[in-house]
Amino acid sequence: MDTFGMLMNGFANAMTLQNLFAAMLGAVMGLVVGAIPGMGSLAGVSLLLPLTFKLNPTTGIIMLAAIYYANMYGGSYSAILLNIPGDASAVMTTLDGNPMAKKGQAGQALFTANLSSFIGGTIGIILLTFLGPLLSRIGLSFGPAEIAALILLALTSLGWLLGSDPMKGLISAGLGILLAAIGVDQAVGQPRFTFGSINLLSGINFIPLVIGMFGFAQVIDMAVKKKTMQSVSMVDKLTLRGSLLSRDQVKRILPVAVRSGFLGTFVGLLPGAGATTATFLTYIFEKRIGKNRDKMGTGVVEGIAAAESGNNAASAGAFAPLLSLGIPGSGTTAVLLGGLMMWGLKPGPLLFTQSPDFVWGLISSMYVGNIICLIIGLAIIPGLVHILRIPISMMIPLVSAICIIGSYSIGNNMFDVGIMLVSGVVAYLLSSHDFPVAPILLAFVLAPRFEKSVTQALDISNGSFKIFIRSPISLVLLCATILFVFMPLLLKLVRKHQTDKLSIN
Amino acid sequence: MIRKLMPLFCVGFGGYFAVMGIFKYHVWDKGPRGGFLPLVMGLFVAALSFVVFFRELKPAAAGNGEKQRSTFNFSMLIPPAVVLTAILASYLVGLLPAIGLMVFGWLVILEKVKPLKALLVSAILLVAVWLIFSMWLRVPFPTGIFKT
Repeated sequence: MDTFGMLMNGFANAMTLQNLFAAMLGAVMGLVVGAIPGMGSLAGVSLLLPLTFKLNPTTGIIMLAAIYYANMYGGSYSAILLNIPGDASAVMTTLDGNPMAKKGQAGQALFTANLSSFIGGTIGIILLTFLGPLLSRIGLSFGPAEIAALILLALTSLGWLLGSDPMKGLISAGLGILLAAIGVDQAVGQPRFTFGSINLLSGINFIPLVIGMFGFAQVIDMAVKKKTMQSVSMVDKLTLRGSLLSRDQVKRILPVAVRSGFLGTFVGLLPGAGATTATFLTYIFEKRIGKNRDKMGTGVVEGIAAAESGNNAASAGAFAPLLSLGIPGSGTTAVLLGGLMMWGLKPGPLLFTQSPDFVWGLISSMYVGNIICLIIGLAIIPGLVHILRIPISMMIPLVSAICIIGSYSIGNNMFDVGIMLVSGVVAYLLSSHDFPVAPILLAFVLAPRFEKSVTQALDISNGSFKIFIRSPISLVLLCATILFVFMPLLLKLVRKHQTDKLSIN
Repeated sequence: MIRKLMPLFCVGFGGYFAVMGIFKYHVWDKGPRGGFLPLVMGLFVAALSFVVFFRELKPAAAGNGEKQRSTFNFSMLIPPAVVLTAILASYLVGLLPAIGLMVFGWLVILEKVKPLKALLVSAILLVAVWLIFSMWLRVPFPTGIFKT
């Protein structure tokens, strides 16, 4: 069956009452959690993951996917109204969104964010529909050596290294791989690093780890920054009628949103790049080539359109490597990958052929979910002021309670609550010392597959490492990995050299 | 000082995995075995952390450390301490009552919320958790000494 036929089958699957309800519920929860300042999509998806345990895999992932991209919509709300990005990917939205709110155009700014998110998301999903199967066909030619090289590339790729300190990013990825080594070694069945605990025989449970690292660490962060985070929205009342855009504004938004949608999707396809990188690039791109580029940053719709379309497109694009190669494009998609594995699915080249109902049901549900997000996103505008008024002091104990319940409910085990607590404290300490935490999660999810592929490749070659450079695909991927590792260091040296030259002059 | 502790922690963490990889688990037998990945990644983490540690020793980074120390915030200890207390209390009173007490106490004592409002918030949370997790997802919560 061709792509279109599969997609139609997927629509039949996605349009069941249960799946539609799951998408709607996910959209509402994602929008609300995304709108709460400081939460972000990673914490949101992690905290809401336990709610999907008892659903069947297709319904569960439909709900999670809806939560994920609704979070992208929601992240812009606090950015516009409070000047606090709900997520790192909404940082660029504050540049024009908040000045628009200050000018008394908060409603229009929110409408622009919703419309652009919808356009970017739709472009991303359309490209995913065609690129997903294509990538999976390419993936079929990958052997253990190529898979190991691809995972290595994902672990060291540009997105993580764009942070302030590439070396700390690499240490974090290493820590994630080491944490994944705990438990029974799959190759020989030998328990490793279990300290005699039966709870660790099957390794560290993914859900408590992720809830701790992103949910509970966020709670600690909120407790520390409580005083500085309590700002109040400058808008008291919002109406849908007052938020409608003029024809001229729509004309200005459309080309920007379409351009950013395409660019954002391609950034989302890169392993490790994610929505945050996409939104920075699309904003900068628009600032270079846009008609209204001189006014960007002062409160114009183009700035919001570029950022919001870019981050939603990247979120959809990130599903392509996730589903077809099993490589998550961002921290949040790493959580989704963990969810898929929990349901017994193995994302990778065979997923499209072995579980077509699941894959196409998910892709089709994203079209429907995107429309639901737009409708709910617009309908929620009048109530947003109330959601954003939930005080941080109230959020801290409530989110802590959700962290405890969520981590307990995965295995009905208090040991998992302990894992959540310890990982939350460690993740907070790491991130407050500039060690990025997302690479730990990405590495933790990918490490078992990485170890298995490396072992298989070396077993095939009788222990010779030449197997990794004999295959052209693997060689190219390894070269890209080396380039990504050293590029930030080279750029740093070049910048330093230029600064020194300038100061001498 | 605090800034130097994290790289040192990572050195210890990586070093432990590397040492255990060599001495406790098999590293190589015509191909990689259980100790191979812990050895390689442990050494990688320890080596990079060493570099970061020595970088933090430099005067500029040390200045940064002083700034970190002066801004150390004791409120970061509150959430872990409260959650740990709730975990311990759950063995006595059960998980749901422990969480209810945790939220109520936290709101009243630490966040200075009025007791009635705090009680209402805790009650709504407990009802929502009970409906979603106990009724819908059938999660058996520990009941502490109130076991039936």
